[in-house]
Parts: sequence; C-alpha cells; structure tokens
Amino acid sequence: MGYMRGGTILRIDLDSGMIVKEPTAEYEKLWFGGRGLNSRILYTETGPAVDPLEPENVLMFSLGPFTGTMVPGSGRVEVAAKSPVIGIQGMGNMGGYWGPELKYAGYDSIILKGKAAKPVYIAIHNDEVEIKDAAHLWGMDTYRTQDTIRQELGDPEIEVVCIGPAGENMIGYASIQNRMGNAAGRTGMGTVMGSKNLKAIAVRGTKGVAIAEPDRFFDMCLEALQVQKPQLSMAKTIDLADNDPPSWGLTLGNYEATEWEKQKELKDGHKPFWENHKNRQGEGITGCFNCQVRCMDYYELPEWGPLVASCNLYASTTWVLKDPDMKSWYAFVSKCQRQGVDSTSASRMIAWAMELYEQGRITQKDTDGIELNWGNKEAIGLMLDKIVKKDGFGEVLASNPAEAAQKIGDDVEEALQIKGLPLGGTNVMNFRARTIGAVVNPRGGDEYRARVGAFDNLGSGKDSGMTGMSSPDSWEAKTAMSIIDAALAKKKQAGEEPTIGQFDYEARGALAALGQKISTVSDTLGQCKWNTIFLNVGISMEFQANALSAGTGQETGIEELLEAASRISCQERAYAVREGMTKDQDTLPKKLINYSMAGTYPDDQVTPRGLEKMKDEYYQAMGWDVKTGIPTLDTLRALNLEDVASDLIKQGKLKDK
Amino acid sequence: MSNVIVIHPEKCSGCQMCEISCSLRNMKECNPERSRIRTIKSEENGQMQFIPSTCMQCETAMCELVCPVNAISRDPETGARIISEKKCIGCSSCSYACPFGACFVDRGLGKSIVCNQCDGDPTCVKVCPSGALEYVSADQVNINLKRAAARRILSAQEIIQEPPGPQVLPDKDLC
Repeated sequence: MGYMRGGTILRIDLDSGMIVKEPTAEYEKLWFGGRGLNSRILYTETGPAVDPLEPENVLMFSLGPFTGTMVPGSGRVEVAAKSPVIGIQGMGNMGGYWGPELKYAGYDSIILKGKAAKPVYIAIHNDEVEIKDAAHLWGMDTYRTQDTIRQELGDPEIEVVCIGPAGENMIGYASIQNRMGNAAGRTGMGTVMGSKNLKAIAVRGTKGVAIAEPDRFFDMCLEALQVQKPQLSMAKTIDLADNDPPSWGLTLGNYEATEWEKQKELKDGHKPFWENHKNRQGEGITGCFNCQVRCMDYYELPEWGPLVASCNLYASTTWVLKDPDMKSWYAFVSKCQRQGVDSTSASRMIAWAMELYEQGRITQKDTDGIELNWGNKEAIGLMLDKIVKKDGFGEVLASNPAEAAQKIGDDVEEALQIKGLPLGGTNVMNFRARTIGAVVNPRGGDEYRARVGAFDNLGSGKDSGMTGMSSPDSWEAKTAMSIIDAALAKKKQAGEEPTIGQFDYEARGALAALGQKISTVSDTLGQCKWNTIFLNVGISMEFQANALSAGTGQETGIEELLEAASRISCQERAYAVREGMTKDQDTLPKKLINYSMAGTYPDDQVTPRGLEKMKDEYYQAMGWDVKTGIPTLDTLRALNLEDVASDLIKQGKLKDK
Repeated sequence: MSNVIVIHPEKCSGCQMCEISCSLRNMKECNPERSRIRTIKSEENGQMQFIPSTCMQCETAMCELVCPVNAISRDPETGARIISEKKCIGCSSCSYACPFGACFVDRGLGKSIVCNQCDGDPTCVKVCPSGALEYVSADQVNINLKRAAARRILSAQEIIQEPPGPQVLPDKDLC
C-alpha cells in the first residue's frame, strides 16, 4: 500500500463473476486517480461505438489520493462510464461517505464490466469481495436498500452506493446515491448501473491511509481549515436562498426570464420552512465526510421522511417549474433521491413538456390526462412517478431530449440541452463566464466543470452569494487576474476602452480553460470543488500541490497538476472525438443564441460570433486546434499521449507531420 | 482545575473530522478505526443519529482501577488519563471496564490507547464545525448542561405561546 492510496484497483466482471485485483501504481504517475484514471480506462478498455447499456460498457468508481484523508472536503468519488444520455464520457462526482470507506478497505477504484444474469449487489469487507443476490432489494428505494444491506450484513458502519427503481427501469437519467442527498446524478450513471443488473456496492474498510509526512500534512490541513472557517457562512445554502433575486442567477421555466414575481413568496417561504422542519440531528445542517462547509440542509417532514438538500436542488420545482410551494418541492426532491433520479434532468424534461402543453402542442390526450400547466404541483408529482416507471407519457419524458422530441413529432424542438444533457436552472446566458463554461463542459448540460467560480460574475458589478469568494492572493485568483489583465492590455493597445463588462466576450475562453483544469485537478485528487474552485479560501492549487507532496513524500508542483489536468482533458476530448463529437457540439441550445430574456438583462444576447470568439480562445488556451477543437499533435506528444495521437491520425482526425 | 471534552450529540452533523484529525495527529495515519474519538452513527430511513464518543475522564476511573500493571494515571497538568505505552501489556482489561468503550487496544501498536486531550489542546474540538464538542473546565460541565436544558424549555414555551411560528432558539449566550 502506497502513501495516500488504498493501493489496489478492484476489477469485477459481472458476466463471469471474476474478481481481479491489481496495483494502482501503474496509473498513478500520469493519471493520479479519480477522474484521470476513469478517463484513461474508458478510452483504452472500451472500443468505439459501444452501446452504453450493453455489457461492453465499463462503469468506474474511482478515488483520488486525497479521498479519505484530512484534506478538507475529501469525501469524493468520481463515477464514469460511456453515457447513455450524451453518448460520450459520462461523469458524476459525488460526496458523502462511501469513497473514504472504499479507501479504508484498501482500494482506489472499482472497475465493473459485463452484466450480471440476475440482480446482484457487491459486498466488500477489506480484502473480502463477494457478489451477492439482490432479488430481495430489487424495487426498493435507495434509503431502504441501504438500511436493508446494513442490517443483513450486520454492520451499521457499512457505506452503500445504490440505484433506486429509476435505475432498475433504466430511465434516461438515473442517479447513483449514497445516504440521502449524495448523488452521482448527471449523465445517467445510475442507468448504466441498472443495465448491469447491479443494485448496490456495500463497503466496509478498517485500514487506514498512510501519510508520508504526517506532521507536515496535519499542520497544513489544520491551517487550511482555520483560514477557511470565517468564510463558511457564505456557503450556507439556506442563507443563499434569502437573496432576491437568487444570487446564483436562476432562470424561470425554459429560460423565459431572470425574474419571477413569486420569488418573494419563495424567499419568505424558504427559511421559515427550514426553521419549522429542520431535522432533529445536526440542527438542520449536514454535509459530507471531513468537510466543514456543510452545504446541505437537513429536514424532516412526517409525510415524506427526512431529506438532505443543497443549493441547486432548490431551483428544480420552483424556478424551473414555477411552483413556489416548499412542500411540493420537498416531495419532488425526496422522490428523486429515493427513486434515484437526476432531479435536474427530470425538472428540465417536465418544464419542456409544460411549455408544449401551454402552447397547445400537446394535450391531455398525450399526457395521460394530466394537466401540465406551469406550477401545477399535482401534475409535477404525478409526472415524476410516471417517469420513474416509464409509464405512459412518463416514458417520453424519461428519454433523452432528442428521443423525447422525436416521440412527440418531427418539428418539435428538444428540451434545453447541451451535448444532449438537459440544462440546469442556473443562468448560463447573461454571465459570459458561465456561457462558455457550459458550452465547453466535457459532459455538457451545465457550467460546473469549466469555470473559475469566483470570476463568474466578472464585469457585472455583482459580487454576491456563491461567487466572488476567492481570496485575492490565491493562486487561482492571481492566475485569473493575469489572464484578465492581458486581455485589458490588448484592448487598450487596440484603442478600445480597457474594461471587460458582463456581456463582453474577452478573456472568457482562457478563464474557462483555467477553470476546467482546476476542476479536473479536484475531481482527480478527490477533493470537493466547493472547497477549491468555488470557496477557494485557504485551499488553492498551492495547497493541493503541497498536500500531495507531504502526503506522498514526492514533491509535486502546481505545474505537474496542471499538466495532468491538460492530459486528462485531452484524453476525454479524444474519446468524444472518437465517438463522433465535433466542435459544433460545443454550443448553446439553439434557442439561446441571438435570444433575449426578460428581466434584469433584456437587451443582452449571446451572438454566434461572440460564442465562436470565446471558443477559439478556449481551444487555444487548451492547446487544441482552433479549427477542429481537437488537441494538436504537439500538445498530445508533450503530454505523453503518443498512443492517442496515433489513434487520431488513424481516424483521419489529425495529420501526421 | 482540569478540563474535559463535553459532547452535544444533537449538534453533530456526522462529518468525522474529529476522527480523521485525531488519528492523524496521534497515530500518524488517517483512519477512523484508530481515532480516540468516534462518531457512533445510526441511520434508518434517512434519519441519521450521531453520537460522538470519547473518554469522559471519570473521577473514579475503572480503567485505572482494573489495569493489572498500573499503566494508567492522571496527567497532573491537563487531568487527562494517560496510558503508559511502556507499561501497557495490551490485555484489554481497561476496554472491558470502561462504561463508554473509550479505551481500546490498538492492534498496530499492541497497546491500549485513550484520549489524551492532545496535551491540553484537543484537536477534535478545534476542528469540529458543528459545536458538538466543547473543551471546558471540569467544574463548568454542569452549568453548561443546565443552560442547554433551559434553552429547550424556553423554546418549548415559545412554541406553546405562538403557534405556528418558526422555532427560533434563543441566543446561545444565555446566562
């Protein structure tokens, strides 16, 4: 067992039941772990054009070196597979408690292939690994599944990841859950798990994580915690909801407006609702393993049982579906977590259907008699039940946006999506950093994997809520400022006003590339991005490099981390290219281009030219060809990706020199 | 006067930061199993319960009384029970005698270990983000518990007086 590692990759072939253990060491140098390891294995161990729901697809749960250590926010696990939603690498990063438990059992990754003949679950206790019958668990919700497994294995310390009925039924966007609110939600990872007849993975580990320089490591983690502590009040979800309009920039319905007349109702309803229904444990607040941010609100309501919710979930039925009622929101989110549904995708698909219903494009004949008017809380609940069961019109809404549109009619525009992944509720239009973040996010759908959080609102004069929290002397802030300063100097040279306004396109592409690298480093090392890219106080890339050095005993610099992030991004891109993606898919939903939204910024439009300008700058900053959006030969070779380069040459996507 | 760690389980949000930092400081690795404080959890249908558990610094310490080799004594500075690594034979007598399961034989060391209050500056208290752990003078434990009880009574009265308003707890610094 190496420092900071479980030491072993666990490979399970569900076809044959064969279990193989191999050392992690082979992947450590170039891929570090987590997202890096997943991206590499997906590319090298699956062929082109694999059907995501066939046994050939590979489902991976990978930890980083930080997972399970004293590094703040170290509860993370990165889940990946070829996605049934986007057709390229699907990925979800989840917190909770399962990842650390897996590390303590002595593993860094679980790589699953094949498909079990009947429903099974995997039970891991340190070195013992067993594939067990799951017939009695099939059909159970995620809460009960976890309780039942703990009970039958006789250990309350066991941590479980599992799918709910939605994953079993292979709806388009099923999630994988740990405890209550921790989910690998996006891109249908629970759907892939369901396709393998795998209900759950239960883990109990009692080994530790060895640290090369424990005292140095301890001191730096303690210091980071103390620097971070005074800023924590900014991260309390319940207080963010107090802002009007919400500080993280929400959009109403399918991007109709940035304002909502019912926000006042919601604002007044939200905090008292929490005060009235906060859980008896933890004073209504909870969070993940070894994290003091504790961004989750913890509720209990007799009708629906306990619930854990964090920031973006609040938009699901409220802003996106226009229902300000907190109880109906609670019911929706609770159902999503219990049934194992990505609530972001579900609410976007329902919003799409509601708009079609209001326009008269679909009627009660199509919707099984349900009146799908905006904000109809009964309809929202009924539709979600139907989606989980793929029943009637639910079958349409349980599909991917393109398939769902086809099922309704040829000329129907798809639900809002990027790369096929339904768009979340945050405003990716009027804040250019988020626009480009969403456009180039390797998994599409949202802006969470390619942005520097603190610079989201750059030029808007707003410095509120979730953004603007970075400490100015952090590596991230200084690096971002140098990009911005260079863009300003260039403007000045061209005789233009040296400012960057909220709607300007300058500097955004390079900032998105920086943000993508920072995100990738966190997803790869096994640290929560709330701590790094969003809060970014006390914990910067410098901290990560130092902690990795002290933990492993091998000095690692920021440059090496950035290089690994570039390599991983190239790997992910090469996979997408192999599966047929082109730079044309790096774009906004058609509706949002040359489009104005009512509310705060009625005159703003994202233009095609502006979009291309940001994309070009992004590709350039990534070392990718501006014409094709494909990593250049020089970039690939500099990153030790000779094999990827020759694959791309063989495919005719790159020219050999 | 010595200090003790006071536990408020209802505030605990289950993050296990106490366990990770304790094991790293005292055992030089990150491992909840080797931590001298544990968060005992139970979960049923989404309802979590967390009870942090560590040495209560008993006045009549059973661990000390049953130890066959007199390895356990009180640190005169902090008041914490200290197990002499040199004397301890790892027989588990103290584990069986302790009403809280606080001391246990660490199988890596082959010796019994127990909370040593990190020489008067307990790391677990320092990192606890929820206020579930407090390090207070031993003669103040009682008044703190009385205050906590008073807060519960006050909030109960408020609920009775003005239904159905939010349950706002009175200010923490109630004296």
